[in-house]
Amino acid sequence: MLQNLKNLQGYLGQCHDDDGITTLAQLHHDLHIAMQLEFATLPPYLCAMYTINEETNPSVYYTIRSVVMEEMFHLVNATNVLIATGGTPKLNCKDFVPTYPTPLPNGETWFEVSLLPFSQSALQTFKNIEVPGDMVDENTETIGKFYERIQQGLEYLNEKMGDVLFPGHIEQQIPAKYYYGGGGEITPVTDLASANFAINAIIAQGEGKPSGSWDPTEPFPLDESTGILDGDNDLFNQHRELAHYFRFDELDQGKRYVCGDSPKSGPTGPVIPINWNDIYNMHPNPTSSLYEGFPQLQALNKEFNLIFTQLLDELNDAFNGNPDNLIPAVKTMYELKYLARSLMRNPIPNSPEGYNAGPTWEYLGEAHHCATPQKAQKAKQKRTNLTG
Amino acid sequence: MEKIPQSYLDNTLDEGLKGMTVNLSGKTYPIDVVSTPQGRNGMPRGDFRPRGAVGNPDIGQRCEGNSNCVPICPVQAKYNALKTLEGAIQSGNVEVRAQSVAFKLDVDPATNLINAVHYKRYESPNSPDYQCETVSGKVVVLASHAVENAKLMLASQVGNSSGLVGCNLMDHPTMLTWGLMPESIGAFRGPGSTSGIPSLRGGEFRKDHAAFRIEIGNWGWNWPTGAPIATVPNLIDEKNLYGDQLKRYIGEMYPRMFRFGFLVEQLPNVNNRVTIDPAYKDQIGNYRPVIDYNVSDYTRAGMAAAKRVSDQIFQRLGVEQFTQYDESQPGYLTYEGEGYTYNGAGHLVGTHIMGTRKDNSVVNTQQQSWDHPNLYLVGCGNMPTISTSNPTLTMAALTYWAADNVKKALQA
Repeated sequence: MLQNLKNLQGYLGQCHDDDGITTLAQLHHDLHIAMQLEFATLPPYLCAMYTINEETNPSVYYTIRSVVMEEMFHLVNATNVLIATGGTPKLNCKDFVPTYPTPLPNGETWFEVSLLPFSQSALQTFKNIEVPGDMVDENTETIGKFYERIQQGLEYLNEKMGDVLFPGHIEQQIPAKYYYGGGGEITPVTDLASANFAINAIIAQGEGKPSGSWDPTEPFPLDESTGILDGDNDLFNQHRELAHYFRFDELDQGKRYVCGDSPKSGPTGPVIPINWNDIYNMHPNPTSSLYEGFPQLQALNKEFNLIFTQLLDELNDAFNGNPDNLIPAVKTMYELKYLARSLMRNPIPNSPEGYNAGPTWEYLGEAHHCATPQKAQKAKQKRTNLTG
Repeated sequence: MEKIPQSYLDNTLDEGLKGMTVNLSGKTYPIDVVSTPQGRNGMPRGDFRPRGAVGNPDIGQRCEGNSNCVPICPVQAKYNALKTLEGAIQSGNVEVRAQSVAFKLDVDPATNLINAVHYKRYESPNSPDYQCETVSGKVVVLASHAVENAKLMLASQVGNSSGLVGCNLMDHPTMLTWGLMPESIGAFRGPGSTSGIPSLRGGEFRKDHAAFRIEIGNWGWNWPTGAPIATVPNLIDEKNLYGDQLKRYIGEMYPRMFRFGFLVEQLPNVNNRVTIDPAYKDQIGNYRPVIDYNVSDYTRAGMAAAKRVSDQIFQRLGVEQFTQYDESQPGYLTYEGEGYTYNGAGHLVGTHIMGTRKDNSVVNTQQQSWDHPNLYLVGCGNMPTISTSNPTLTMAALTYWAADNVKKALQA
């Protein structure tokens, strides 16, 4: 089901050739890619974040953290739409996580994503990831456009299949109480309107909410221009916040957006103090081969990958009917942070550039491919039979 | 909210103490481990959404187990007054004047109403300079906690027709016992305490001695010894441990560290009191509080009973006793020839107690001064007894009640 990035060109060709999503299998395929896409943003964001000293660079640290939290929210929303339409999420396999540098799994080939320490170049990548559709030419793929295809597919299939498209499986979905620490709120997905709402929350947080009035239960009006704010205030009655692209733009330009600023004006407010020097000089796109001959770094990186593997296993279990597993998963996320920091604190011996180590984000479990396991498929069939 | 999950230690104790009872004054009481209510963000129920940190509402929506809750939670998952203040300021009806210390209330002799509050505004805590300013209003509320409320009233000679302002100061004298568990209990993790043994908070034994609440501490010997920060240097300097040996020692000992806290009841006593004395003033010329405080035999007998219960529990669980009380400790006292040490809990209660008559109390049930109809007092000072529970929830409930009464007074 998952996007094998080696076949990315094939997938892109298919997206261009087909008339959008017309089958349930295609929908599930793209929702899996959505999960993969949301997850793929985490290693680059976290690498940049963990190279920062949160005491000396609090503005930067908390800005990236706020986006990281919301990417996890997006992962849950995409997963809930998949579950609601009868799909079976699968995260714990080697293919789920890309090897960096990589294009984004949704087929954005116009830039590559690298794992970098916090830097101008990292910020440029982050802005590319989050760029609003109305700020690039119409042929450039963006995350918003990728979700537009899913929303159109949902609408088509809903018309074709009726209520059968949404068996719901509310009890399998992740409920609101498990997500906190960032903007947005998990909402149950039961029909086309609630599925659109969940996806709109993703697009609006990343790229900005539409400038005009909009109905969040309808597909996102991508052809309209967006402002600098995300949709959290409109959708969830939460505090007003910039969309991800503009949060990163503030750091890039070193200034705050203030009332009256627009995407065109850029930020015109107070200067943001950024300490560009107090940052661990992590090797770009670290790989295990960097640590050959250095058993302590090898051991640390292996420990990181074991914890990372445990995290994917816990998330997979949580997304397959055991949401309570998100509680120990939070502890695992903290362990991941401590291990990433341990790696980043350590210089790679004899590195001419003076690089420090960094985590390689590898799944070490047995499953290489994320084909839906037979057991899960049978369970799914059973559920479909019950509701159908 | 759902309860904060109980710690591994809590569950170990629950298992180990199943069915245990103790005998106090001839009656048996169960020793049950029960989850303790917390002013701390956890999993919400229904539509409730926990309130995050002031200044960054995305942070602190759940306790993260930083194990660093005092004096303020690093992510503000634990309640602090900034949250209430922020809400008050957002209402648009509140103005905060910082670095301003009230030092005197004026009374209108014709009406007995408080007609002015004088305060000193200072620029820097390092300088004795200040400016005197005045504020007045239809209603005056004193909300500077038990000691400062009493001090301000004594300094202004207001509200004290009963002669009880400052009297009946109470706290929970807290006696600690500590030891080493036979196996790791994962000490030093989670909030300070997530469970207790509440069955001895009341009973017929109160005719003989004070009741007590048993707090199960999650942070090993942090309170009695300052572990780990204060004790690890001793391992190096005194035990001469280093390297792997040091790591092994810490790994073997520290996760087994266990302690109980016994929060012992203290009865109101007019001689435990806050007073003022012109000989003791601060650098801007305001009175400093002078505290008279003692622990009665009734409370001491409660401590002795608590120690007996602790010994029985330690024996049952196989805890190696490390508890040590000695004369060098400021809270050291004796009862029937045995020595005990108590610590302050910071639960200051009393000093302007609520009561049924003008001559037996400082405020009436409306939380209003008996002497000055437009003066309201809030905080733990209004509580006439302390019992064994932490006072915050009771204080918050009384303050909501006081706020309703103030609102009515303003609308009258």
